[in-house]
Amino acid sequence: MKILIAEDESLLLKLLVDKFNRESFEVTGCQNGLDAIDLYDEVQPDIVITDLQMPFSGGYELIFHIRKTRDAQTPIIVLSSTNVEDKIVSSLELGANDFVEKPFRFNELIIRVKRLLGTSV
Amino acid sequence: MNNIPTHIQRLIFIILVIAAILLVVDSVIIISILSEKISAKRSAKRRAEIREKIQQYITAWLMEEDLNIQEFMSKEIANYFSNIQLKFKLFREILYEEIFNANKVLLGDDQKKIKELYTFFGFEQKIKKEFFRYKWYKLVNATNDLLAIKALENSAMFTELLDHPNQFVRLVAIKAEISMGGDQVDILSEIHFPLSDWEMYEIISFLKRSQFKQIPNLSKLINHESVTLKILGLKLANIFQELDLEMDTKSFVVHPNPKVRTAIIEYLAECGGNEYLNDLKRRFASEEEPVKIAILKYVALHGTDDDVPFIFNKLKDAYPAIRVKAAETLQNMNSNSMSFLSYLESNGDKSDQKLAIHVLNKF
Amino acid sequence: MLTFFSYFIQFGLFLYCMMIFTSYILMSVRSWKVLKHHKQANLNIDFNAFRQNPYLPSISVVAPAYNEGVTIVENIRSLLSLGYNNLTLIIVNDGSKDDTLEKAIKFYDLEKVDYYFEYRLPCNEIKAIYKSRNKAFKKLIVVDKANGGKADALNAGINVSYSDYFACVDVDCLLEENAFEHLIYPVINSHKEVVAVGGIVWLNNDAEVYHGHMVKLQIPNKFLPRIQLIEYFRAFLLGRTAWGSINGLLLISGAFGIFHRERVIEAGGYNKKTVGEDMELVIRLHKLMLNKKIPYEVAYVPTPLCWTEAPVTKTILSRQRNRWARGTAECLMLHRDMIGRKKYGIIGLLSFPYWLIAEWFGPFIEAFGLIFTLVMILLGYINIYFFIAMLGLVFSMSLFFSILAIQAQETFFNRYSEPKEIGRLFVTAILEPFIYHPLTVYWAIKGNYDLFFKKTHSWGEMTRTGYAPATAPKKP
Repeated sequence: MKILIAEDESLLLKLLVDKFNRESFEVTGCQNGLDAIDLYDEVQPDIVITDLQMPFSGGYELIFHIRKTRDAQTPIIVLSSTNVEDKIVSSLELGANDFVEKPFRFNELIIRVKRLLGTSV
Repeated sequence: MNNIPTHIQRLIFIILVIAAILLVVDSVIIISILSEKISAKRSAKRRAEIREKIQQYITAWLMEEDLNIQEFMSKEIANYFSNIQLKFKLFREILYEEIFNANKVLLGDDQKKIKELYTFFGFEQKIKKEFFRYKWYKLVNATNDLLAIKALENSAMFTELLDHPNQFVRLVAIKAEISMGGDQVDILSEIHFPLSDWEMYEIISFLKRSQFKQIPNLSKLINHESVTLKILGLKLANIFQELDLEMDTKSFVVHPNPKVRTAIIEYLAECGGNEYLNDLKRRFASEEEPVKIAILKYVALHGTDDDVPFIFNKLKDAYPAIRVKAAETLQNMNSNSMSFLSYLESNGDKSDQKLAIHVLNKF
Repeated sequence: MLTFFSYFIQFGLFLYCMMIFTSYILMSVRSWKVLKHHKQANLNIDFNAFRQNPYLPSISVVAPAYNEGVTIVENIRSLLSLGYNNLTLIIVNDGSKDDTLEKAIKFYDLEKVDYYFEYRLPCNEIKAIYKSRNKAFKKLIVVDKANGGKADALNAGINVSYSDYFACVDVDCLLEENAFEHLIYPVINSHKEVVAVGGIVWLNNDAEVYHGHMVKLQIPNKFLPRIQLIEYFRAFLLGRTAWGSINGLLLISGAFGIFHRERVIEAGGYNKKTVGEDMELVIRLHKLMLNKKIPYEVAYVPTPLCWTEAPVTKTILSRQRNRWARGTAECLMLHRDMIGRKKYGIIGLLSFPYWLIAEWFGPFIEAFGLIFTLVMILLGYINIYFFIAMLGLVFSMSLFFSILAIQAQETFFNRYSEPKEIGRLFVTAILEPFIYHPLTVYWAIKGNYDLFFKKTHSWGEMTRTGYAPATAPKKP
């Protein structure tokens, strides 16, 4: 399973990459929204985890790119520190499948990812 | 130069001396800035290297499943850092930063492991030192960090700081006192300085984050003589949905401070009944914009079909913002008012029509 | 007789010199203190948490656009990526002759909507209002109006806005990601009514910009922008910080600031008849609040929040300075009734006289002083050594303030990492009094000449040079 992770904090990105590697995912990580859009086209991941606030272009643009420009149904999980209803709702409205608020538990995130992929937990 | 009178000569001399002194000061500043820049540039590279290593190291520790921290340290640390690097002041600085970065985003077991790391490297001592150095911003920073990593120990020092002239110190003292288990309302009613809106937001979001289910004894805060504490009390009552409060609601509704009026009306809208409907409608015309908006919110939640004419009237208010809010009230109050708004969309006068379209389309 | 006369004038010039330097010193001391406190305070404010706060005042960004077809899509994207929670983006297409509107419509999937608004401030006809069909851009409003100049476009944007505050932003400026969190902080942390907040406008010529975000900042390569950078440091770090802290700010840069919507409407909005519409509005807000005797504040946030490119060529720079000079003169004349009036407090007693003497008359006094002294030397009334010593003093003093401003940048912001670049900045600072300063004096005088004798009415042709990036930079 291929997973794309867009997260601008480098420590957290490293951690996510390692954790998902151990769960035997093929992980691609990047630190800004523009790279994420390019990498999405290149890697064709099975699932995407993205932050909302990132340099250059944020998570909204990535979701928009996947859902509208590419018209793909790749599962998307938003991982963000916002708890503003408006932002959560609009990311879900745009087509994200799930929303995880930071701070978060890794185990929970992994279960959500697997559930979205339909693999056994 | 001999033909110049001596007093002019003296003047010229003084001027030249001042100019020379200034030029010397200039060059000292220039040299110091440049040398600082050069050394900063050198350390920047080292910094980046160390940060990268530290991040790898923390990740490795969080991925570790068998070893405890002592074992992990003795076994692994040499793989990441040379002995010299470990002695750099930079190393501890960056490690500290990264520990707190990680602490901010993690929960559960991972957060516990981060705290173990924090204890292992003895950062508690470092923080406590900041307490006694007593530069206010360092004290505030240190306390905030301790709060974040949940390592604040009981200390009597914060009680005195509740009255500190610096707002940041006051604020962190409030947070510290509350998180050490003090009674929220008792602590808050100790504050003598008026609270700014920002301080209120900070206190409210702190209480929300601390996951208190309720704030007992809020009446004390609401009936406090300080106006800003009253407002804070009413806001808290609204957010924590405290219903049984002893207060003279009537006097608050006509309180001279518009912020108090707004707060009480918003509280009544969320947590009260419809008994103030007529009072508030009567007061509407003489109120200021924020209070008007609060009243419309109250009407939206408690109004009945009888109030539709009142709201309809407000579609012609002097302020466009109020007109929009009034139309939104029609949209939100009940199904009859909503259908009235839809009726206006096609049958009202031109301005009402536009207003209805604007609101129904959620512009 | 002539000797006496010459001494008298010389004494006057000397007094002027000392007055200016004393005020600079006072301003620098004050600014240093404020900057220090500000930096320490900022360490303890979590601006990211602001982003999640649903109770903050709402802000509408009003960005006028005229013939921006090439950059409009990128500019809107950059503004949309701002993180503030309660933000609406109002792009005002001021009757562009190119495809500005079409491009925005196409890229952002805009449709005409029946948006409810009223002409509360005078402005040219608003032809249509557009919103996006795409929910991702629901904060975006595009206003299409008949051409009328920058002030007119801003008024139109304010008419459309329902937010508590509005921000005027030049569409070609780069904003820091949390610019509005910084600007709103003084509003929510004040016990008075805050009618306007300004921030530092900083130059980013030659910076590496990628998709509307600055990747790497560097000192401008060319001489003119580099000198202007030092000017901006002096003005924003050492000057306005001090004025802002005593509520004496007369000017919030037209490039970037937030204003209380209702108060601005009450004051009558932007004045179309002056080139200094940004300064004129701030003065009028002061006047309004002081006349009403309501405690208020015009706040200033000493943090770089807005990045813009300085003019690179002499022609464009001279045009800019000409406009500034005209704007200053117009504003001060228009509100001359405030000068020295006790009723107007710090504004009337301190800010206004300072602007009058240092900013408006300053160039005249300097030019006159230089010519007068040279003539007197030729006639033998003034000793040449004395003149040289005075020149040395003036030079070392002005250099001192430039160096101090650079030091302030280092101590409180530290945005540049290359030692070599800072070195170039110092060299520039040393050359400034000889090469650049005489030019600015000349341009300022020329501006005043144009205003009074050529009747270059600002409200004639001026508007159209209005806002192309290079032609209308922002007054520091």
